[in-house]
Parts: sequence; structure tokens; C-alpha cells
Amino acid sequence: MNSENTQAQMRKGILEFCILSILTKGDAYPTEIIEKMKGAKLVVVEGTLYPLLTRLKNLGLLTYRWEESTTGPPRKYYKLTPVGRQFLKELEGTWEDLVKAVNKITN
Amino acid sequence: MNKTVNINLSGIIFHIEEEAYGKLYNYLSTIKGYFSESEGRDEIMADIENRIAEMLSERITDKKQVVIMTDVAHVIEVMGKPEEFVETAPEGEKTQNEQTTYRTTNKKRRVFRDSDNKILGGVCSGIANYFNIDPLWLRLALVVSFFALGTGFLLYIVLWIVIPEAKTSAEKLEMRGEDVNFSNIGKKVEEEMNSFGKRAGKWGEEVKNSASETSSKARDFIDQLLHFIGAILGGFFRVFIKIVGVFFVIIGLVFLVAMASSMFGETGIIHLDGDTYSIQDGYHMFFNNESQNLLASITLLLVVGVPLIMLIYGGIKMLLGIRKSTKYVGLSAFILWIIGIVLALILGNQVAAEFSDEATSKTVVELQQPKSGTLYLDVKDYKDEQYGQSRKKGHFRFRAKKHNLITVDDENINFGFPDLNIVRGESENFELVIFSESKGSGRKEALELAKKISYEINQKDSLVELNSFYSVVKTEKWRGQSVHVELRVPKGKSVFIGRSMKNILYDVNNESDTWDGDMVNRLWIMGDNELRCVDCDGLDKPKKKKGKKDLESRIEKEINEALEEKTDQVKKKIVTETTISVQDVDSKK
Repeated sequence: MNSENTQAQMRKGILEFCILSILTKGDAYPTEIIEKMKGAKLVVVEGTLYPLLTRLKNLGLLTYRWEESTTGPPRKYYKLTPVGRQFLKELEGTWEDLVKAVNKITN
Repeated sequence: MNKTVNINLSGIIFHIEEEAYGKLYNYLSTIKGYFSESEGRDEIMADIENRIAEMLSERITDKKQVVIMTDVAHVIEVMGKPEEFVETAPEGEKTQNEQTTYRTTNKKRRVFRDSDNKILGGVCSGIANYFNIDPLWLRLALVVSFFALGTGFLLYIVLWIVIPEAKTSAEKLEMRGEDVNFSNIGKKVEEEMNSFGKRAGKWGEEVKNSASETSSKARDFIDQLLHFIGAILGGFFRVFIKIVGVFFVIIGLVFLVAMASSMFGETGIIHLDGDTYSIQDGYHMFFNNESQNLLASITLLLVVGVPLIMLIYGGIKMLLGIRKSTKYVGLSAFILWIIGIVLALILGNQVAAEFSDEATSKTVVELQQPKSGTLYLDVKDYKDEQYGQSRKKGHFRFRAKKHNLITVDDENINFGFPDLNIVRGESENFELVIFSESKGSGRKEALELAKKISYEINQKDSLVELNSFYSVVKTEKWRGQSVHVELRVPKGKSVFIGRSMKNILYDVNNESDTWDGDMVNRLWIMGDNELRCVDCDGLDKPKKKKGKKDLESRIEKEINEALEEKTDQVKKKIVTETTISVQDVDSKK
């Protein structure tokens, strides 16, 4: 087991959590989501996002609608479903517990 | 000036330079290869294409209407390499119950080379991961197969090329995914179909939402049904592909092993009279030197070996479902094969040059003249009994209808059959002339080879026995050596052609135009130019029994007489050098 492996595992869970969190502040299309994540230095490449969004949508946590764009093809705006909100709440709880636990151990 | 092509990305038309198109196309295909259909590949691809279209349209202005390489490079940089974003595709965690169906379909285990636990290329450890076994056993098997003519080594190299290395952490996780064995292939197909059904259902919902007419329900059902049928067919197709893959690998391996062992060992497929030979055992007959031998081996390896390796390669890819294509493998295999063909032409040319000239060595055999004026002709075969008793490795023969065509013994290769022609002779005596012919790179070489052909004739009083074979020393090259014998019969004298002469008579002219095969077992007298049958009552009818009996008893008598007069027995072994000088040789060409 090397550190890359662990990092991949850790980042995975966090990314979904972050996407859901970003969407609580309003509907967004992938490019917006990625901008926010890039700002927080969480994701480097955009491609990462699409499989994740599709996955979350298939799980029923997200829905989307099409919106026309002035510059290019229509955009997919993602929105949290009630299930998604519930799921996020659980995740937030877990996250807080985790941070507390990790801080406690590492400090 | 660059050529452009038109592409349609998410409904927007782009003019794109050909080179840039190639790059974009490869990029999209690679990404596609990373997702399975059940992961929602089509949807992900549509999203990605959508985004790319958006990015590209931002980079296009009225002044710059064409998408060029740098645009594509920019897009790829922003989107990231496929490896980078599959890294974050979900894998492994087992927290949510709802995720179960999703995870099992997604957690498909794939074969990668395990570079963390490698000894050479990580092939064994990678395969061991795939089947969840200890790599030690595979390594042991591999080492053992190294000794089986190195076939294991070849297979290892092929696998090394075929199986991609687990580079990113995602790939490393995939490498250790869910167990894959034959018992749960069926389970997998079922799961795949379920997820298809689910997806179809979701898709159906979308259709329903967007078009809320009553008819959509029916359409929905038909769509679902079509998807379901597609899923079933897809599942079967996948299993079928795997079976074909196994088949390819087995066929390829069998032939490769057979070829390798035929070339380098003595356990191959070439069996002659119960012994096994290597292809190389026959090289010396055709080729002049080591470099030609080597050329022959390389040619064979390339022309036959490369396609076999590609068959195994393709089979493994089908079997393990490796979609990532290493495009240079096919191309380099093709180039190697072409090189093989070119080498074959070069070698063929060199060998053909060895056959470019021909020469004939003529030997006159003095015959003891028969008192009765009739010469009895018969054939002496290669001694079968002797061959059977003394047979050992290196001895073998090819036979057709019980006749020995090629017999190989300790010293010689004996070829059947020489040709015999019977013509009118000008002198008072019977004369026998042997023409030994050979091809060679030049006249001198051809003549030398021709002279080295040995052909024996025995005379016992009036009985002349011609060997049904001529011999070339084993260590000599084979250059199309042949022997033609001409018997010159004076006018008025006769010959009796023995029954077993059938094989060596060759286009003998006679007054009745009788076919060679029908000339045997009959007495012939020399007319003005040609032979005339003495005891044929019309050749179409079977011969009278009485006459036949007469003739047979006559031969028997003659032979007995000949045997009694042992003292007079003359045995002539004709070796060309002893009876003829080079000056006497008349050479063709």
C-alpha cells in the first residue's frame, strides 16, 4: 500500500461531499463547480467532475435541467434533490466527527 | 496550408485541422475506454463533449475560424488526462447500502501489470492479482516453461506488451478489485443486464417528463424493451468475445509452440518414420552457409511467428477485456511481417541462383552382349528389408504406392526414379548411356554435382538390372539432381522389358505408340527406328495366358542360368569419374 493509493481513496469521498456542498448554494453547471473547486485547490482537471456528477445523478442525489448558453451548446445545470440534501446532511455530520477525531489523534 | 475536417460536437459544427482532429479523436476514444457502459459512459461522454464544444467555441472568432492543435491541447489540459480523472471514479468504499448495485457493476477488476511487486515486468504479480492467487505459483510455472524451449519466455514477452502497467492509483485499485473467476462471469452478465434495465428505466423517466403525453407511456415501454433486449444481446456478445479470445490464445500458442520446437528442438511436429526432426536438419540441403541458415530461421520466425503472436495478443485482449489500445503494436507487427516477406524474397532469390545453371555428365556403360540377341531388363529396388533392420534416427523414407520415392540412409539420399529411354543404336552392340544432370549456381558447380550422382547397374549375363533409385551423398546440396538412362538397341536385336520397369520407362517410342505402362512384361524388337512389339496381340486386349506363362518361364530360366554361371557374373558399379573424362562431357546450355 503506498500513499498514492490512500490519497486517491481519501480524495474520492471528499470530492462528492464538496460537489454536494457547492450545490447547496445554488444550481450550477460543471464549469462553475470546477471553478469553485479549483479555487479551493481540490481538483486540478475538469474531466474528474463528469463521471462524479453522472454517478451522483444516477444515485438520485442530483437532478439537472438544460439551459441555453450564449457562447456555446446548452448547459446542464445541476440541482440537489431532497434525497441529496438529506444525504449531504449526513455527510456533514460525518465530516465534522471525522475532523474532530483526526484532530484529536494527530494533535 | 493544412487540410481541415468538419466535426459535429454537441450539435455545433467545427472546422478542425486534420492533425488536431486526430488528437481530439484519440483523446475521446481513450476516455471512452476508461468507462464501462454501466457506469453511464454515454452520458459522461456527452457531458465531456459538450464541455469541449463550449471551450472550443470560446476560442473561435470571426478571424480565427479553424480549431488548431493548440486549441485541442488546451482543451485536453483543462479536462485532464483520462488516468487523472478515473482516479476519482468511485471505488471500493462500502458504506452506503444504496450503492451496492452500483458498486458491484463498477468494481470490475481489470488486469494490470503490478509494478510494485515486480521481478521483471510485473506480469505474474498482475495476473496473480486478477485471479487472487499467490504470484509465486505463476512464477514457478513460468520458470518451468522457460525450459520447455523458451515458450514461456515468448508468452511472457507477449503478455508484457499486451497488459498495461498500473500507473495511477485508480488503476492500482482496479487491479485489486472484486474477484474475477469463471464462476461469477455469469453473475457479472446478470448484473450488467440489471444495470442496463435500471438505466433504461431512468432514461424512460426522462422521456416521460419531457413529453408528458399519454402516448409516451407506450413509447417508454418499447424503449425499455429495446434496451433490455440490447442488454441481453450485449451480455451474450461479451461472453462470446471471451470464448473467441480463449480460442485464439489456444490456437496461437499451440502453433507457436509447434513452430518453435520444430525449429529449435527435436520435439516438434516433423515426424518421419517415427523420429522427430528439426526444420534446421534440412537446411544444409538447400542453403550454402550459416548466414543463409540464420536468414531462413529469421524469415520463418517473422513470417509465421509474428501473425501467431498477434493472434495470441488479440486473444488475450479479448479475453481480459483490455480496451486500452497500444497502437504501435499492430503497426510494428505488420512491419516485422513485411520484413519477413522481404527476407523470404531475398533468400528465395539466393536459392534460385543456385539453380540457375545446369549441366549433364555422360557415362557410357559397356554391356556384356547377350548370346541370344535378347537383353532382359529389370529393376532393382532399394532393399526394404535392409532398411527395416538397420533403420535408426536419420533414416527415413517417403513412399508412394509402395514405391520408395526418397530413402535416406547412413550415407546417401536415394531418389526415385531415374528415366529410361530405349532408342535405336547405330553400332552392332547394345549400349547403355547414363546422363546425370544437376543444377547449380554455375556450369562448373552443376557439373561437379552431376558427377557426384551415383547410379548402379548390374548385369548378370543377359539380365540387366537397373536401380530404381539414384543416390546423392547426404552432405551434398540438393540441386535438382536427376538421372536419365538411354539404352541403345541395334536393329534386329530385342529387349524384354520386365514387369517392374513401369516406374522408370519414360516416353519410349514404339511403332504401336504403346503407353510406357503397357510396354512391360513384353518382348520388343528394334525396327528401323523404333521398337516393335513381338508378343502383343493387340494391346487393348489382355495378353494370352499361355504366352505370359511362356515368357515368365523364359525369364526364370535365364535368371537361373545366370546364377549358375556365377563365375561369369559381372557386376558393374559405375562411378562416373572412372569411365569418363571431363572432355567427353557434353553439357546442355
